[in-house]
Amino acid sequence: MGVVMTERAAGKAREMLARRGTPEAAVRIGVTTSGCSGLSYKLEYTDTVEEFDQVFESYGVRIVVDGKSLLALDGTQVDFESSAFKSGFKFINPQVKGQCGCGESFKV
Amino acid sequence: MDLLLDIAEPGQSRKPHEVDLLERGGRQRRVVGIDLGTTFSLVAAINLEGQPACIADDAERTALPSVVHYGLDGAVLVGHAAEAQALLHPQRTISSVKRLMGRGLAELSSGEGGMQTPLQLLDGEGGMVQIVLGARRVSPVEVSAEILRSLKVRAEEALGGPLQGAVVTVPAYFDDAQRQATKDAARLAGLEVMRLVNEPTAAALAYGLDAFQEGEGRQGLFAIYDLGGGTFDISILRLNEGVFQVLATGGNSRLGGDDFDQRVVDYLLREAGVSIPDSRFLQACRREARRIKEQLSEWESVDATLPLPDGLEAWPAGESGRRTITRPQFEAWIGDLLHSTGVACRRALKDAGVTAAALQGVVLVGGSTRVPLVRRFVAQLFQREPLCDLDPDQVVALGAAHQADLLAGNGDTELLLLDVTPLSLGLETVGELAEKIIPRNTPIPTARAQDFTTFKDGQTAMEIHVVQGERELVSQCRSLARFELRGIPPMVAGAARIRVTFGVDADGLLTVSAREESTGIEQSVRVKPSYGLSDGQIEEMLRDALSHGAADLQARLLNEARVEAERVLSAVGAALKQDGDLLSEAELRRVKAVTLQLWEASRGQDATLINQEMARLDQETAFFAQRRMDRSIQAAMVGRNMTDFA
Repeated sequence: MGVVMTERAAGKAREMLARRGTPEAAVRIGVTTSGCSGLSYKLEYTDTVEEFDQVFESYGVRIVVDGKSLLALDGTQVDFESSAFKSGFKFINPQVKGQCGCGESFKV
Repeated sequence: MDLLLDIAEPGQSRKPHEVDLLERGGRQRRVVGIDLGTTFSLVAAINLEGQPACIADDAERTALPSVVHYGLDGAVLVGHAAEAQALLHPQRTISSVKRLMGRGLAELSSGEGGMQTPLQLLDGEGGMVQIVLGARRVSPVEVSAEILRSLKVRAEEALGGPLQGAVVTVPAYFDDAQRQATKDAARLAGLEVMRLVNEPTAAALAYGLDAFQEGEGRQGLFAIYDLGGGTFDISILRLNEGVFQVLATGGNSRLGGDDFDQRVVDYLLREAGVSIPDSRFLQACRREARRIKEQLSEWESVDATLPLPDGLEAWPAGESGRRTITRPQFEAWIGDLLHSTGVACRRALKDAGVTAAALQGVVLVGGSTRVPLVRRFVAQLFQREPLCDLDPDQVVALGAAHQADLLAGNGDTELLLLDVTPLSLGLETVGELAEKIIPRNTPIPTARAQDFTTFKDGQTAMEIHVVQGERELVSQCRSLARFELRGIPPMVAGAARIRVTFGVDADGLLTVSAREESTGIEQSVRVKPSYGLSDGQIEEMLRDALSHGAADLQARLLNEARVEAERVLSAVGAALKQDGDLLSEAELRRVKAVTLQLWEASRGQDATLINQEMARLDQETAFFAQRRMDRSIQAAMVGRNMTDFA
């Protein structure tokens, strides 16, 4: 299991890492406990890997997840969506049992 | 709704519900521009390429028909779904609700606002019209809110989250009541209105005319020719230092593309030999007419199919039901309609005090401006090729989106969009005179204050009567509101200082407040006038003011003289009562005689005479005033030592 990125998401992430000037850096995915319905996602660049982190790789992009977050993220697929007025990374998490109306936060 | 995220720098992930739209190309706030139109409405936002674009529904349609259907089961349908109910339930399907906004029944049934409608209307709260739907009543504000809500849902879906604000457009001639009604509708729909923007101004913005540069600075004159489905508007805008002012507006609220269709319908009916069509047949003719009109914008001639009249299985021999309509034919049918728009354009230019040759640009707005003849006509009228690169149906919404983006601080530059007050705003002063506080054509937002005082000794209240108009006498201006400032401490006349402040916000809404400076007591009123003024009425008021200018001035002078005479008479009366004993019998008689002459003059119509008599009384009572002063000084010195005055 673990956390994976779709090819499209990985492509976008590589592009963004390159633009940031750190093509070798990784992407950190996690959850924080806030929001109107429990948990919310975190998506950041990361230049370091900590002790309890787990590292996954999809299409050449390293994905770092801390041990605690992995409990809520195991099985998650990260996709990239784009339309005329918005674009961004989308989390497809099989563990989600409910989310608040705006999609900002979720429960597992 | 799926949340979309961007990759953030370490430790900089956004918190839930934090305003940040990284997924929108760095645009900080989710804002839209909304064109709330008579026949259809649109919503637009800045897309990922940084360009304003209209947001389409699931079926890729950008225009939402401004139609709302209230089902018997309580369900509310908006747009195309509502339109489909119009034939079946004409009394429960509301279209063109914009014409009802901020209006009373009396205004709708009279004058140019007059409208034919299958709807049942009555006067509701505050003199505003309501629509009767069986046992239920809805206000135009509620109906408009349904349209706005539908656009809001569409936009939030496309932008990926709740909207933080919207710019909504209104016709340039909308008065305070109509603007307020539009704002109320937006609020009801859960939209935060960042600003109401005039439709012609939005169109000019869409073409980037705010950045127009010629000679010195950002300035220019532009005409916005807006021919929609059912309305025609012409506006003359002045750009000054990047700010638009509406110099003049004109038009016809009963003229548009629907009239073009009607001319084609007339032809089809003639050819089909039908003089009294039923609604089904008429509907078929209208559909065909619209198709013909639209295709004639592209082709020199179009094949038309006559709808088969009721009761006919097939056309009789010798009649194929086929016709060919050429563009010149169509143009001949609509020539007089265009001519009438030309008359309105010339009048607007005249009102604005400019010539067609002085314009730097003409913008075409409204679907009907796709008709090639309209473009040729406008080009000839204004002696220049009109701007028509942008979709004329969308241009207002696009400009509004652009403005919303700027107001939200998403862009680099802050554009201050100014409109002007169409008529002067002021208040009634003694003598039924209208004192103008904010002159007409003042760029808004604006605030102006003026100090007033009490007219009578011991006066503890003051009525503030807010009026709008150019005439000198209150009775010839339009009354907007009245309120009373109470609790003024009793003082001699003229001692109290009451500061009256008039503020007009960016949406053209007026707030008047009065404050007594020594006590700080304050009263204010937000003007939501229950009766609006149409364009034509504003024009009429302006014309009246000009043609009655001399007479008005006379009236003003007379009233001023009368007021002053009244004040003098009352002061002399009080003085005689208090210190009459200072005068000999003969002196008293003399003063009384002169006083009486002033009183008589003040009943007459001659301002000069009143002023003369006043001067005479002043002269004749100078010695009396002197004696009174001596007495009061003596009174003040009684019981004190001279050292007190050293």
